[in-house]
Amino acid sequence: MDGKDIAEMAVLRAQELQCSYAEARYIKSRNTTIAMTSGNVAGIGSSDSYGLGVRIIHSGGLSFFSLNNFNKDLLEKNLRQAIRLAQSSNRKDNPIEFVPVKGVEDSWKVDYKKSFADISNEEKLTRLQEIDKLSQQPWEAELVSRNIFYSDLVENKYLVTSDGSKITSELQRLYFTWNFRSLHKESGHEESRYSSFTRTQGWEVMEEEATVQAYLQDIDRTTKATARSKLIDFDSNVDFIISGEIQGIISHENCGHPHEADRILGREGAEAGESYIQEHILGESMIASEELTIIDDPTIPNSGGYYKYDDEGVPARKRELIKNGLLNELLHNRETAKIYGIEESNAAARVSEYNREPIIRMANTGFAPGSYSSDEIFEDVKKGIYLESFSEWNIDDRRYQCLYKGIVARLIENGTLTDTYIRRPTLELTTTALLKSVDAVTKDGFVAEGATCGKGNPMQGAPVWTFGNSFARLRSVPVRF
Amino acid sequence: MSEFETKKEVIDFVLKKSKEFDFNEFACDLLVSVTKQLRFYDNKISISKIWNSDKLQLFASTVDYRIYGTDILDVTPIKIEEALKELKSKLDISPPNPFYEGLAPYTQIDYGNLNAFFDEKVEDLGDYAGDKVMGAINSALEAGANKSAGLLQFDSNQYFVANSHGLNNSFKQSNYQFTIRSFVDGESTGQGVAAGRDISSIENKLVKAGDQAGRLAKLSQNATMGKGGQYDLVLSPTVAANIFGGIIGAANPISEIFGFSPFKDKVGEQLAPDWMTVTNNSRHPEGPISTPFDFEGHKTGQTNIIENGIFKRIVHSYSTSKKFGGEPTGSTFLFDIGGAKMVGPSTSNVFIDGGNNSLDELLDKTSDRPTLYITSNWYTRFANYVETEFSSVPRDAILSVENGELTKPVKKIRISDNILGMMKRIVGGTKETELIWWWEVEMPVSSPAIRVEDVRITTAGK
Repeated sequence: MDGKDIAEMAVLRAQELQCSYAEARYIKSRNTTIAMTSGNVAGIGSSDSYGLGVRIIHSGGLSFFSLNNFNKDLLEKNLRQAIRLAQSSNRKDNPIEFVPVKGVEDSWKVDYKKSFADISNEEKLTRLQEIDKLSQQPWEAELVSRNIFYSDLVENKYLVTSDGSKITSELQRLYFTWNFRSLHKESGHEESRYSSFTRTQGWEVMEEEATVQAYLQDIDRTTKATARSKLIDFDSNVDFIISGEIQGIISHENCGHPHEADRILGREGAEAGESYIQEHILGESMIASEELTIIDDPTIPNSGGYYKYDDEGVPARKRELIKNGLLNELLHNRETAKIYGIEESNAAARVSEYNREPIIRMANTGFAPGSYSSDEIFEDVKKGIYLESFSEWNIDDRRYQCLYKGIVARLIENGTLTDTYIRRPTLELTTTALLKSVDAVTKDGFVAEGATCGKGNPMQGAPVWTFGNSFARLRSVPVRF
Repeated sequence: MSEFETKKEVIDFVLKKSKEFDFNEFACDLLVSVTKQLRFYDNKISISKIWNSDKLQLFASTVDYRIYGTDILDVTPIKIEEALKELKSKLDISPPNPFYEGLAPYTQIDYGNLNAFFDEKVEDLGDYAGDKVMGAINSALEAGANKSAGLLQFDSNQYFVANSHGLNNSFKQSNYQFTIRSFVDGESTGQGVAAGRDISSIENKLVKAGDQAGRLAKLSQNATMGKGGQYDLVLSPTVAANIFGGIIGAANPISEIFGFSPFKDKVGEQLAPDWMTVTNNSRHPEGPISTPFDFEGHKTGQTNIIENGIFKRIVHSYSTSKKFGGEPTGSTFLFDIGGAKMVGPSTSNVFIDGGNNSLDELLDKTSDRPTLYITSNWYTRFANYVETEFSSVPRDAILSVENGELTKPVKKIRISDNILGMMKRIVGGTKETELIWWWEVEMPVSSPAIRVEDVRITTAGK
C-alpha cells in the first residue's frame, strides 16, 4: 500500500468512525548531511524518512498518531486508540473545533534548477572543501576552530483532509550553517559566531558566489571585531542603528513568537510560555512606534519559510502582525481562528516531519520597508552604535524582557560610521521599549538570515527567515556591557 | 521476501546481507518504539499523541577509516538491500575520517538483566494516563493555581544492536517525563517536574509535581521588579540541572574537536568545591536513558567526570580512546553531528552528587549580598561555549531570601555570568537530589539544589 493510498484510507476510515475532522499527511523525505571541522570531514550521512501522520477530532477531543509501517490492521488499531484517547479528553462540553476551509485539490512544487538528488556526495563534498579552503587566509584574528554543517532536504508530501483537500507538494531545501571561533592573540579576546544560510531551492544555491561571500564576509567582519573591539563607556542612553540581522531576530523573537495565537491562549504555557500580547487589544493597542510595520510572509519564493499551503490545507498569505505600530494580526491555525471567532485561519500551521502535529509557526519575519535611505538614517546620530551581528540572545517566556549581545558593533559619531569597534554592546530592554524606540527604517537593502525556529514538545524545528531592510534606528535606548 | 515476522529477523537479515557487501566494519541498530503523550492547558487535555516507529541505522567503515552512516524507517527487505547498496557506494567516495579509528572488538560479556531498564507497566499506562494527569492538575488547583499546562510522555523502546565483530543482542527500555506549569495569573507561575521509569510511583510523583507547581505559582503573586547587581543564588535542582548539568554534555572529545567544549585541557583542574562529584551513569536504575550495553557492546556504567571538584575525564568510545588516550566508558552511540552520522561517545544520564546541607541550611547561609531562590529557568545561551559566558532567564517563582526564610517574590531578572566561574563560587548543595528531565533539560540530570555566591543579575527594566 503506498503512502497516498493509506493517507486517503485513514481519512475515510476516520469519517466512518464518526470523527468530526480528520487529516492525514504522508511525507517522504531524503536528507543528506555533511559535517566538517577545521577542513576535515567529521561526519557524512543520509537519512530516509517516510511515514504517515494522522490527526482526528472525535467527541470534541483532538488526537494525533503516526506510523511508518503501512499496514491496514495497524492503521485501524491506531485510529481506534486515537479515538479512545480523544474521548478520554472529556471535551464534549468544550469541544475542539476548526474553522472551515474550502477543500482544494492542487499540486505545487518549489522552483529549483538542480535537484539535490542529482548531485553526488562527492560533488557536494568537493564544493564544501573549496569553500572551506577560501576561509584559509590571513584574517585580523586567528580562526581557532571552524565548522561547516551542510544539510539538504528533498521532501514529497501528500495532505488529505476531511474537508476534501488533496494537496501534493515537492520541495528542496538547503541549510548551510557555519560556526567559528576567532582569537586575537595579542589581547586574548575571543568571539564565537554561529550563522546559517537557508533557501527553499536546489543545489544551484551552493554554486552561487553570494553563498560563498556570505560565509567569507561573516568571517571578515567577525575577525575584525575580535581584533579591534574595545570597551567604550556611554554615559547615558544612545541611538542604535541595527542591521538586517538584528532587526530580523527582533522581529522573530519580540514580535513573531508573542503573536502566535496558541501561545496567547496558553497551549505552549508549560514550555515556550505565554505572551505579553495577552495584555493588549487587537486593532486598538499601539505596541510599537508608528514607523514600524512587521510582517510575516510565507509566500516569498525560495525563502527559508516558503510554502503555498499550510499543513491544514489553508492557502498561504502574508500577515501584517504590527501595522504602523498597531497590534494588527495574530498568527493562527484553524483551531485558534475558531476560538477567536474569525472566519478563516491565516495559514500558520506547519509540521517539521510526518510524525508531528501541525502547530502555529512563523515563516519569514521582518521589518517592512520604511522611507529612509541608508545614508539618511545615520545622518543625525551624534554618538551611537551600529549593531551588525549578535551572539548570545534570549527573552523571557512572555516575550517581553530581551537581550541581544553584539559581536560586530561600530561607533557612530556625528552621523558617520567610524572604524572604531565596540566590544560586546548589549541591548537588554523590554519589547515595548525596543519596538517603540524605532523611529526610522530604510527603504532598501534587503537582508535575509536563515534560521531554524524551535517550538513544541517534542521540539519541531521549522525553517524560517529573519529578514527585511538592512537598517533601522532605535532612539535613545540603554546599552550595557 | 515480504514483511518480517519478528524484529529479530530484521537485524539477522541485515547482518547476513551486509556480509555480501564486504564491509571492513559494519554496525547497525534497530529501534522499535511506541511513545505516547498527553498535552494539556487551561486544566484540559488539548491533544493525545501516539508515535509508532521503526528506525534502522546502518554504519560502515573501511580499512582506511572512511565512514558512512544512513538510516531508514521503511524496514523491508527491499529497502534494507537498497540502503546497504547505498552505504557501500557512498562509503567508497567518502574521505578518510581523521577522528575515527574503528569499532571496539567484541568480547562476550554478562550484561546482567537485559530488560532491567524496562517497566512493563508502561504498556498499559495509556489506559489511565488521563486520570493521572487530571490528578496532578487538581493537585495544583488545590494548592492555589487557577490553571495549568504541561504534558505526560512515556516511551516503550526495544533496541536491537549488532555489528560485524560479533555483537548481536537486544534490550528493552522505558521511561516517562512529566511537566506541569501552573498559573495564578500571567506572571504568577510555578513549575513541577517528574521523570523516571518506575510506573508504580507515578501517581504520587505527578500529584507532588502538581502541588509544587500550584504552591510556587501562589507564592510568586504580586512580585516586584528585580534589580540588577551581585547576588547569592540558591538554584533549585531544575535550575542547577540546566546550568551545571547542561555543560557536562560537552565533556566528550567530539565537542572538543568542534570547539564547543569548555573542558579541553582541564583534566586535573579544580573546577568546583571538594564535595562536588559529577558522573555520567548510563546504567542507573532510574536513569531514563540507561541501557545495559552501548552501540559497541561495552557494558554501560558510571564515569566520574568531576570528582571531588576536580575535572577527571571525558567520556570515550573505543575509537576516541585510541585516538586521544583514555579508556572507553561504555557510552558509545551512533549519533548525529549537525545531522551527519558518526560513532562516538556521549553522556546520557548525568548525576550531580548531593552536598552536605538541607535546603533550610542552604537558604540560611550568611552573606553581605541579597539572596534569591530561583525555581526554574529557560533560554540559556552563550556568548562563547568555551569561555562559558552566558545568560539565562529565571521564570516561575523567584523568591527573596531573608534571614533564611523565603519572603517576597521578585520578577523579570536575568542571570548574566560565567558558568565555570559560578562553579568555583558554589558554597553548598543539598543532600537531597532530584531527577530533572524536561524541555529545557534535554539530557536527564539528577541534581541537588546549589548555592552560588556573587552572581551577576541584570534586568531589562519595566
